[in-house]
Amino acid sequence: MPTDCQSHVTRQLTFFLQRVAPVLACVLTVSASSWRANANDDHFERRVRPLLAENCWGCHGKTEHEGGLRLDTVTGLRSGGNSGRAVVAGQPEKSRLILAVRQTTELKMPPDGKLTRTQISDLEKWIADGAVWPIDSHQPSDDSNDEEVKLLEPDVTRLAESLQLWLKADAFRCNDEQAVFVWPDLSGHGRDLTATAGIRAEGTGTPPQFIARSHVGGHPAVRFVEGNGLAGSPDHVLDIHGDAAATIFIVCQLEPSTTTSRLENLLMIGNPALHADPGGPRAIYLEIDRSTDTPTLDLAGGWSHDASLGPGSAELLYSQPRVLTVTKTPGPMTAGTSFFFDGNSAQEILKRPLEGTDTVPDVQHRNDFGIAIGKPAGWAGSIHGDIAEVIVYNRVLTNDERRGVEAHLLQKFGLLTARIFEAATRRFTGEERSHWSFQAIRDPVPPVVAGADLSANPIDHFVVAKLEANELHPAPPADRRTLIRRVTYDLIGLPPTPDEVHVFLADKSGNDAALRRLVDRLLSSSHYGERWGRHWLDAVRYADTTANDGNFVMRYAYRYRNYVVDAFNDDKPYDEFLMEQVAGDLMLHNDPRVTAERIIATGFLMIGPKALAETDKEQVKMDIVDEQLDVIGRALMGLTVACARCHDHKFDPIPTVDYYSLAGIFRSTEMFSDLERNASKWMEYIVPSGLNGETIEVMAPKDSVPRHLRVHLRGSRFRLGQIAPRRFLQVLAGSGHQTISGNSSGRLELARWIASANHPLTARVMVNRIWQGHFGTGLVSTSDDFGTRSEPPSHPDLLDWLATRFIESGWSVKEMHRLILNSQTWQMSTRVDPEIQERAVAIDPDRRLLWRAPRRRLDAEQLRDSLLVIAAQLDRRIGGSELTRKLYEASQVLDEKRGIASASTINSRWDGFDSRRRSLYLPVVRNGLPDVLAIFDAADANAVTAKRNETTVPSQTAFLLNNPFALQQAEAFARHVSSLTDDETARIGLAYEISLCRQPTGDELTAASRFLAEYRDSLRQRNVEANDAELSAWSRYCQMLFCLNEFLYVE
Amino acid sequence: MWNRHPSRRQLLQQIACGIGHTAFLGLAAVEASAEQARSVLAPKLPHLPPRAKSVIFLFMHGGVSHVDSFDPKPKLAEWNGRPSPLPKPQFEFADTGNLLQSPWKFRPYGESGLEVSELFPEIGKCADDICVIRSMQNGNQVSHGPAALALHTGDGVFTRPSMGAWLLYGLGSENQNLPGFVTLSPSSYHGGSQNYGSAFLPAAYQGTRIGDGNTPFREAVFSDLGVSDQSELQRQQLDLLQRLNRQYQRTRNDDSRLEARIQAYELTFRMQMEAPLVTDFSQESRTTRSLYGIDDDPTDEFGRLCLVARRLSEAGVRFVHVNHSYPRNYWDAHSGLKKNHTTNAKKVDKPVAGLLRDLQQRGLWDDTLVVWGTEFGRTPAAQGTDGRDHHPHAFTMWMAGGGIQGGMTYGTTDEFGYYVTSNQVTMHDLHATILHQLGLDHTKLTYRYAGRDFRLTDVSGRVVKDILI
Repeated sequence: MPTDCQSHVTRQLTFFLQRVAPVLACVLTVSASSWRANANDDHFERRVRPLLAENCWGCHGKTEHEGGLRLDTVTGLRSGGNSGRAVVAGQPEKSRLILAVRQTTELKMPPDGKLTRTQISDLEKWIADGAVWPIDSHQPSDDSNDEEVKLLEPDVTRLAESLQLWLKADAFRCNDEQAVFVWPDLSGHGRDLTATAGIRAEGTGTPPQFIARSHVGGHPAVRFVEGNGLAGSPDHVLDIHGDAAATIFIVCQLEPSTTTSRLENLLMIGNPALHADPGGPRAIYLEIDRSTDTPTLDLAGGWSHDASLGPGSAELLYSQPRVLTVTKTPGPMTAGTSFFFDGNSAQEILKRPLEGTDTVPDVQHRNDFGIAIGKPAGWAGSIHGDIAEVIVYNRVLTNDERRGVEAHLLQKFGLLTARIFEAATRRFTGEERSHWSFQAIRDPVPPVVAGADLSANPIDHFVVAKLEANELHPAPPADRRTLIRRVTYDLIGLPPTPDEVHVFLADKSGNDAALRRLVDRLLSSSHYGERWGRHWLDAVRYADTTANDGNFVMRYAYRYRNYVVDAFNDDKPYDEFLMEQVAGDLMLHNDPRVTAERIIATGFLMIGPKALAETDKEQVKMDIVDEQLDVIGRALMGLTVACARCHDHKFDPIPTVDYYSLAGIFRSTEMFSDLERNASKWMEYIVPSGLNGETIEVMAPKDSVPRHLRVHLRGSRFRLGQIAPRRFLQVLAGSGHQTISGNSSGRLELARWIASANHPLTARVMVNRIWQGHFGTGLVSTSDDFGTRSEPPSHPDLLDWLATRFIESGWSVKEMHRLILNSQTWQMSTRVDPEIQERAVAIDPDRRLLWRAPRRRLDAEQLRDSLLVIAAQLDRRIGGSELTRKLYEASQVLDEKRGIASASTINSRWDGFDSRRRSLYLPVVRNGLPDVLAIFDAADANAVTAKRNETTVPSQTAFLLNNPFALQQAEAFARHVSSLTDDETARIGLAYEISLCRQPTGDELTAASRFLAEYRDSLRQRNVEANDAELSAWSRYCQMLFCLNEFLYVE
Repeated sequence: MWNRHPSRRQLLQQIACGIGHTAFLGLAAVEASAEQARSVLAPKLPHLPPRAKSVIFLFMHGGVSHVDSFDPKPKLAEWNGRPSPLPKPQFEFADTGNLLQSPWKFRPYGESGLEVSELFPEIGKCADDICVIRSMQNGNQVSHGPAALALHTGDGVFTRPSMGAWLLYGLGSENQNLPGFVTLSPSSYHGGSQNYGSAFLPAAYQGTRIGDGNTPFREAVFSDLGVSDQSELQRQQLDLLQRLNRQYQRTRNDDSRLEARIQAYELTFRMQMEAPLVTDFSQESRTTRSLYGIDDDPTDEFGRLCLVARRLSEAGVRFVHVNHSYPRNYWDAHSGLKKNHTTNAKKVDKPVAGLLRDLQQRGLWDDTLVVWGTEFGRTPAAQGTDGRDHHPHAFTMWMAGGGIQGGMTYGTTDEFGYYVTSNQVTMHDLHATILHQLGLDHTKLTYRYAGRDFRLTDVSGRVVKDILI
């Protein structure tokens, strides 16, 4: 008779019986706990709690936490304070609290007195007996909101005493869809349920089936259908008798059935009266009554004696997994029964009280079977559905105890309650929601501005309309020389060559057409991606080393950099670009090359600064999550999300629970491949490259166990608050929205949400960044903050119009360049007549209305690259990894096997920085940039750089005058022009064309000649040989050219 | 030679060509408007009456053991070799064993009777002039990087400006021919340049480096300054440059940056004359040199740093950051405590004491706040057989001059030196106190960045009033 399943179960049963106690401990508490209770509850309440309250809570209580220590809550007691744990349960000699109150060391508590001997020994006894803190339903044991579901640790021993039955479908193994003949009881009382159909006369129903992945959160369950039933032995009935109390937990998902049974038995304890014996309610019997069209769920004592939830209430158990709780106090049926669905009271859900009788049930057990589920015998029917777990106690649990078990079950089966979402839901005021950047992007009609010479480009209409409203006018157009220098630097970050200048000046087509042609040429150059990729790298804090203590080289960070350059060169649609960086590893593609590319894109998440030597690994993980959220917030959405780590955002409607909703997504993603104590290793792994069957090693995250985080109060993970379900920002995605399924980290969903055309911020932030790249300042000047403290946009309609065009174009960055560069606004001169200027400065000194073009200093990369170009030294190769490899080799290898090398030895004099490649390719060593970049305000790779500073400091002028790099380029520049011609005037002319894109004036020629002559003379007076003097004079002259403001600033 | 307290007129006179002091260097904004044309480094008014004008911060890199230097723990001898009865900290860098007594004896010094260990006899002789803070606390920062960053910038994880940058931001510089914040021989490890950086403050406030942890200080120079005997030649070049710059500027006179850069070139030229003098000791007497231990072994190196620090401070440099740092010097005695601390102490003891004496003798004592610090202490329990591990939970730093009481100790630790038992001083408290002595209210010295106001002390910090005169 015993099937494989049953004998297997029997073995399992024995196995489990031998381990009931620890298993019990594991299930009924969230974490293993050494807190045990006995008569010490009394000791605590009478002697310890008042002692603590009087002597300690003043400084270590709710309002003040001296030394970070709270002694008025369980959590506080267990967390300890700044100096560590205050109490070690069971060991008073090791407890700082005892040392402190004994006052034998320097630490003396209370500071202004001493406890009596008796008080001290009361504390010692309390700790020796386990430092119990009883859970009291009248006094919450910590001060969190009563409405929240708390993940408490129910008192194990007390609950164990009243445990009567415990069935778990996941505790025994069966093959899927195999018959369940025995469902073992894990309470320790041996009250196994069995299917006895065919074994005895009037046996129970046929055996139900074991389902490995049931409807109950994908967990194992026992599935009942018509005719199935399990029942316990009459020799092992539950200890629930007479006018009894009980608490029942059932985790299940039921379905409406089509049987003819009027009553479906969910759980029966005792003997419900027969029709023939109506006066005897002898059971506590959970049933679904199908005598009407609207089946009800009720707790029956017997025939016509029940407490019912009313018509249609059975639906609460259909079609979705539930944690059902039923409590019954002694006394009248209806008054004493309560139902809870996922922890929410039925009254609240159904908005009506129970109906029923006042009968007092008198539980008496049958002599043919004990407790039963499903069809116990001939007369009742079975429920239809999956039951995963059943727990029965013979008393009513306190609120805290009940909630603790419910929370445990909800967490275990992945059923987040509406309550948790509700608690985490924030409703915003009209004012909060009305902030300009949270509104949907509009497509405003450009204003009509009259004027024969005004272009057709709507940008100009938006701008000029505002100028005219302020009685201002746009500056005249810049000349072609100015324009080609400006646009070449803007788009590719290099100066135009003299030939390129000649071609542009000679182009006989109209200005529009000529400029368009020029722009197209520049946009199709591979150097474009190097320039605009660098803007992006600023925003995403790109670096090749990890910073902080180890400053380890991230060998594969360069792949991400090259990905960015390629993305801009290919004009990858911006929405795709974003999604790939946030969740590329989750966006697999048939083409392995695309897959590899997408995985490399997630380097975006990996390149931040990391304190890898920190021994508190959980803290490190949360710190990394924080900086990821900072980048995603500020760079992608213009929101300072990271400000909500410790408290609600002080200014923007971003509650701290939203921060932790997002944090949970990233905490469900693994960044590390190991967590070695003093040098953890970030994730690197091998993927097919898609080329010739080869593989490459990449730096990328992997999704890990999906989990929700709790709010870390004040950012501390020792003080946990409510659960923050993984989701997006509520003020943008809707209060209480739920769009991430339980089984995924949520990164892909997040990526899609951010990259959506409906997201109010994403497109605005990017077009603003592009505008900033062409004008020096965005329409919103704080390009990483569109929140409530930011300056509103100077031209809100223009911003939205551009954002709409951006999305419409398929998120094409190159199209946006064309649109902006085509405008007269961008093509204006930097200079206007003095009287006009004076007036304009008085009205709009910061030029937010754009009455002239800005003059901008070359940034660090443009400067270095320019010096190399004019010296004819630049190595124009694109991409590659040679410099990273060189960096790795020059670093101090600490662990070859794990690929850990410290770049702390690298300083600005490292010879790798002597490379003549474009600055973009110089490895970014955090806290160790080469001087040429650091001195000219290169981005600080430790944080998001939305906009670089532009400073004028003597270290820059010293650099240009004296630094070896400057001197080298000066000499190379001199040699270069000398090699092209011997004629002095021609040489000067060439030098001007190469560096300043124009010919010198007559005065400038004269001055140059005079300088050269005098300098040569001075050198000869110092006995410098003629050829050397010649080279030296020219070098000084050429150097002087690139020291000029005219060179350093782009008009 | 050094005009320490120039009046406005004196400042103007110091500038060549009499060019206006106001249109000057260091503009941090994109094309400034007229009102932003003032120099970001010009002297600013403090919030409160200052006690001191400059800070000399002596950084002992690696973690000086407090129980072996300035916090005597006789109980360690009693309990040597036994397990600690006190619970060990929740976070430690490595595993430690039983308690380890100090290899050095302590003795009282001066009228105050302040106890200092045999490692620092010369500093001990200055006991009546220093305030030893035994209750320093650096959070849970058990590794060098975050700990050093927390000490220098207030935070071990996020990027924040260093204390020197904040000070310069708050007060400006008194000497416009020298950088206002100088760092001597800093390490490139453990945060590197971030420890003297300006983060989101304007770049003009970052520390200017002379030398580094790898280079003997004798060979260190201010980088990018031309040789003075070439200055005539360079002047010819500059004259042409400036003439053309002026021409360019004439039709662009609403842009103050252009003038600022013209001035910056002139300043560079002047600095080339003045800066080398800082490291030129030929003007210092033999007595002074030997006071610092210069030309003697092993005190020459650090002696030079201390003397340069005095000269810089005297010349009006607000914050001089003096490093005894990795890789050439390191207090990180995970093993071989006795040898490590003996060697290191010998290098710094006499020079530091010399610095204190010199400041007193020259009447610079009240104006100069000296801070002797380290990123954390070391564990009372042994690491291995003869070392101590990192210990941020309690350690010692001392302060002197600049309105700080001498001859006192502040704060206490338990009998083994594990935890602070009274008057804890966190990094924020230290910073608040330093700023206070220079006349700045740490809650008022703020800078707007990323949507909110930041300050060196973030949202905490208290001025330790008990140690002030």
